[in-house]
Amino acid sequence: MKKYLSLLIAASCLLLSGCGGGGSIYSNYRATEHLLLVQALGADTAEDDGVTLSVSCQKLSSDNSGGIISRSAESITRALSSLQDFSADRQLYYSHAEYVLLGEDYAAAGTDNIFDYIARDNQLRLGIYLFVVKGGSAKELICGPGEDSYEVSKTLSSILRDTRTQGGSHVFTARETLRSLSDHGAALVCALRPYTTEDSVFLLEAGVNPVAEGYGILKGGELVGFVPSEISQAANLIMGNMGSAGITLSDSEGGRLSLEYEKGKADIKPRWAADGSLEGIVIKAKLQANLAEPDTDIKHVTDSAFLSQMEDALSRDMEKKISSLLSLSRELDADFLGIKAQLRRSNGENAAALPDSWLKNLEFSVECETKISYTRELGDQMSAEGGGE
Amino acid sequence: MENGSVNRRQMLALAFVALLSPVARRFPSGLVAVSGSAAWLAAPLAAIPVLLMIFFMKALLREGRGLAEVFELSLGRAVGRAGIFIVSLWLCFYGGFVLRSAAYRFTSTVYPSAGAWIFVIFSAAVCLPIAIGKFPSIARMAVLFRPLLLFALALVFVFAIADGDFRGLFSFKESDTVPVLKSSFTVLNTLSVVCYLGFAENHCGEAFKSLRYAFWALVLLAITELLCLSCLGIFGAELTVKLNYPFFMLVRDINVFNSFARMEALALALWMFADAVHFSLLLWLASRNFSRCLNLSSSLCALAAAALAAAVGLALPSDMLGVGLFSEKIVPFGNALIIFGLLPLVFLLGRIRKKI
Repeated sequence: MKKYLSLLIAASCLLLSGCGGGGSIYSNYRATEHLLLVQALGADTAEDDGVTLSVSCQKLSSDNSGGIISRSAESITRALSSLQDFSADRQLYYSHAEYVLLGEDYAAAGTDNIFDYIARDNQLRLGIYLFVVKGGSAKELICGPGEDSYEVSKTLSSILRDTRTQGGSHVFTARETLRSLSDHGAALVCALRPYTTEDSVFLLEAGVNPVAEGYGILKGGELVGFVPSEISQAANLIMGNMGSAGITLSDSEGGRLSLEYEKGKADIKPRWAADGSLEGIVIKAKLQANLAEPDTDIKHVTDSAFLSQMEDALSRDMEKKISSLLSLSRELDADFLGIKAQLRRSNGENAAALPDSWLKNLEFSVECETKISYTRELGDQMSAEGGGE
Repeated sequence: MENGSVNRRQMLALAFVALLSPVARRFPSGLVAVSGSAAWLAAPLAAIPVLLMIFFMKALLREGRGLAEVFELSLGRAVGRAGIFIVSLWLCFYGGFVLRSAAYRFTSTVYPSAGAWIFVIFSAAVCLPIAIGKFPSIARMAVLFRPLLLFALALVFVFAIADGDFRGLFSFKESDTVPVLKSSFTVLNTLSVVCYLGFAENHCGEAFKSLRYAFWALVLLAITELLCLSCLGIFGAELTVKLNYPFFMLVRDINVFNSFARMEALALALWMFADAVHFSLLLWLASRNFSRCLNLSSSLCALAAAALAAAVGLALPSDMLGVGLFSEKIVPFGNALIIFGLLPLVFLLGRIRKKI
């Protein structure tokens, strides 16, 4: 009996192999030339509370030149279906999509739908990188000049690489953003500003090019403001994503000194009153910087008094940035820095008892200490003078 | 000992692979939903009760005396066999639930447009010949699958723990105590399913006698702990609770040096092995118990048990809430009633009557 049963089960495996679908053993097999590999997906608001979805597909070969499609519908699912209708003979394949761009208007109206879709869909991953378009639409960036050769994903992967090293911004994934929204009620999203080639000179393709510029602030899933790029370094420091961000200072004799932050660490220490209420927080930051470009008398660079003056200037500069950032968080009542989580780590009971308005009434002080550790000392400043005798 | 005995290594492999099925199903969502970010404490706190459970089974069983013999000795032949029959009916019901939850996992994660019925029926049909066969076949299956499953788990843990943010895990409040204790009981309850292996004691003269079962328990607790830590580190407590299968969402995001990605279908396929071993074992135990009680051939009993389990699997609700209700409440309650209620009662009665 076991033998017959085993034969029956082995035969029934044929039903599950997908052979029955198209009558061919290759019916589940999809060649890449029949696929449009979506690399970037953009969402904007459309008429009647609908959504406009734009996709940028990767060029794989001369037979698969990629493409850009944009469609509007009343929901994300309908818009995706409409995108497929307009993708000619190829199937849109989202499993390797790397980037999602949210138009400013769309993000301001609420991002719950797009996050929900990303989490539920079997093709999209929570590890997808997220951007918000500041002063523009996602469609504008994804579609660009409308040329077949344009692929926004190349620029976005370059931005991803640069933000990891330069520390001006940081690109978060959908998972990190969702976690921040779940844990803190607010999150930061890397902001992109679209620039046309008339605004500046680019060596890249003609058309619209995105540049990372600070962060968008999501509160409860809605975009409520932006962290300007001038103070985004402070956000990176507090979140532990400090890269090699550059800064230029002036010395007392009118010269300029360019430095690079090498590393930094910030601790948030709460001050609790005897009755358990929060008196305020103290942010203590330690930074390390290196000399990058001295446009000043080189002798100053090795002078400890001068260096000390520069360290103070760096510390004051960062203190101002952190204060501006905290003021912004307080003004918007958006805990995108995860301050309450820090308070919970310090005293869970007290943190749980904080009133809803704790952030709006938050008192804070900032103390920064900077060390210029590596001056790349040279005997003489490198210059074009000389030429031998 | 009957013909077709297994050695200690095979028995432990069987216990490990079979238990991975409920562990992956219930953890860490079930723990995090109750105790939040303190869920990672549940497994360490459950260590002592789990070890006590192992030692209890060690005291209950002897060479040549499995759970079926304990029932008959303690309660008398007729009542004992009635008890074995009821437990075996429960094993069929539990097996049906295992089929249904495995089917639900497939349809909700990878095959959304497929019907659950095909997975239920096919799984029951595939496991039937295994249940008809000899006990060592199931154990040898487990020995083959164990390294694959361990490899998949190790890959996930390495990437998840390297990427995780664990800062929020060490802030405790007094109000976390009771939820953590409840979660510890959930861990104990889930791992207690290993006690059903006592019905197969006469296939392994050293079942539960060896302290290696204690080591097995610690390994499974360590895996539970790593599951909790991985999901809490990557998703945080709030997001973990919102996800149906946070472990598989975690797997979906793994990218091995940009060369190997999107392995969630592979992980699901590997989990099918754990479900197959788990279900085959339940079916085998139930069929041998039915055969003992009703004096029928084990093949016929296996067919009946498989049909019953498949019928239960098809009849169970197909939505998330329904599956969740059975997974978190009904099935754990049934297992707890038998393992923490009936078995100690049978043991006590046997001792009072001086039969065991």
